Amino acid sequence: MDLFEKISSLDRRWIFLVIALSIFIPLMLPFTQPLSVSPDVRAVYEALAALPEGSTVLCSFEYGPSTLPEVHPMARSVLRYLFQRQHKVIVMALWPDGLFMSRDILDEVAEGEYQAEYGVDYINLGYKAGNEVVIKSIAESFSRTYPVDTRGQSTTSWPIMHGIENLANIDFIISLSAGYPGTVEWVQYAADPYNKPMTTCCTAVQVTEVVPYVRSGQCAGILGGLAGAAEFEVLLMDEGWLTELGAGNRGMASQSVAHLVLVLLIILGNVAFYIERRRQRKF
Amino acid sequence: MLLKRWIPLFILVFVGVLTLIHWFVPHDPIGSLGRDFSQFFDIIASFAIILGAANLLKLQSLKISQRKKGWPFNLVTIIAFALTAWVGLNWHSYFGSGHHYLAGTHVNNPDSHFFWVWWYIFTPLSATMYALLAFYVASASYRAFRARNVEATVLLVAGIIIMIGRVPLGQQFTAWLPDHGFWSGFRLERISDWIYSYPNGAGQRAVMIGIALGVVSTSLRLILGIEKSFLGEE
Repeated sequence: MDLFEKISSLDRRWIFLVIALSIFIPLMLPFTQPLSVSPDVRAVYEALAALPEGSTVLCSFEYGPSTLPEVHPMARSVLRYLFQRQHKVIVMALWPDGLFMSRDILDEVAEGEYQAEYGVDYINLGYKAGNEVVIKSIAESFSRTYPVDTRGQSTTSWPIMHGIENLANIDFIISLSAGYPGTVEWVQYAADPYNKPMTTCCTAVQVTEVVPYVRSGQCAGILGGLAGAAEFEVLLMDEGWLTELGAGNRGMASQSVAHLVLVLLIILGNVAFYIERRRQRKF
Repeated sequence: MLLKRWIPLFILVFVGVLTLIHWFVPHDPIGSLGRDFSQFFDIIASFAIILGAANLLKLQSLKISQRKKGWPFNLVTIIAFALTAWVGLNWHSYFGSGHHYLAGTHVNNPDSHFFWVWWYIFTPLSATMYALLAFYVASASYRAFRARNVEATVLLVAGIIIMIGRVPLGQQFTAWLPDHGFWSGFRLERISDWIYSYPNGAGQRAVMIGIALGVVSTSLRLILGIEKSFLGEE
């Protein structure tokens, strides 16, 4: 067996090892990389920056532990920005897991970093079964859809919900999404029919699905995957809203190296494939 | 016949037509009926979990009773299901004492057993499963991503540009090109954005329009009583 045959039939455990090293080494020895902010990420920032202080922003959590490393850094940065701008944040979840994701990030950012007051600066309405029908329901009434919040108290009893009857009273929607139901449903059932501005922080694999709505202007920009999170952190730091870069940038070193290694492996595999095919044609 | 065919058909047509009309006539009583039907969906969706749980238990039990290959895993599934259901349904299931026991809120309380199960068992398991995908995707890409013909080559080149163009290290390959002007369009991140916006955008739109037309035609078939498979008929 010559070199090219060996490359073609490389044991997959070698590939696993190479990928593992390309992820672990940059995680252990992180390095900073110059990062350019894409127009889509800038559009998200500009849409949020255009909101007057004290606006009411609805954040919907539609992801779980599997996509936590990708979406959590975006959620963290976005919430930091919202609390710094004194916005009122209403949190809900279309995924059962979203309840725990929102709880985790609110504990860290709202209570830990900004000492935001529950019921005044933010509220967590929790998870409700029904997918897009939940969106349609809150378009009619928050209190009918969510009679109680995650603390078991009447939703309408909290000061933040005074004057918030339905979606019409919301100034901006942010979908933190990893699939269905998620950003697409928010565009179709809330942003478009009720003419509400919205943006999305979604996983990288979802970007292809959401891009048409961004290009049509139905969704103001997009933070896509870890790259989106890293770019948004850089932008917030440039604008003076963050003092240090977060998990998005820390993870990008690993992702960069892993992507390049994977591309090299694919090229190597193709070179071996091409040479083998030429040999077979000769004989 | 009446119970099995005509009453379900009547409910479907009535609810379907009213839900459709309420988009165009939002005034009461049609408007409020349409909104109520949306609430009905919420309630029915919540009950679907019972059906799912019953189905899971039935299938797993069957495999255990027949001692099918890997039956101990089915047993683990049932035990995990029972334990999670117990700590989820029992709102007095807390670590320590002095808790305000309120049904429902315990799932979100870090001191509850349910929260512990979710955060310390489900979360790492779920994250691990997803993380393993990276290795399998890498291995599969190495073997399957081959430039066998023109279409496969186009896909391969687009994939590589996206993978390189989306990460800062990759972007450095064309960082020497100017930021503005004609040549800036050849920077990897710009080509990557172009692929996302145009070829991908066009394809995605076609898929979305196709799905929407399919949904409309299937809904019309159901509302008009042409499609009767949900009644168990051909």
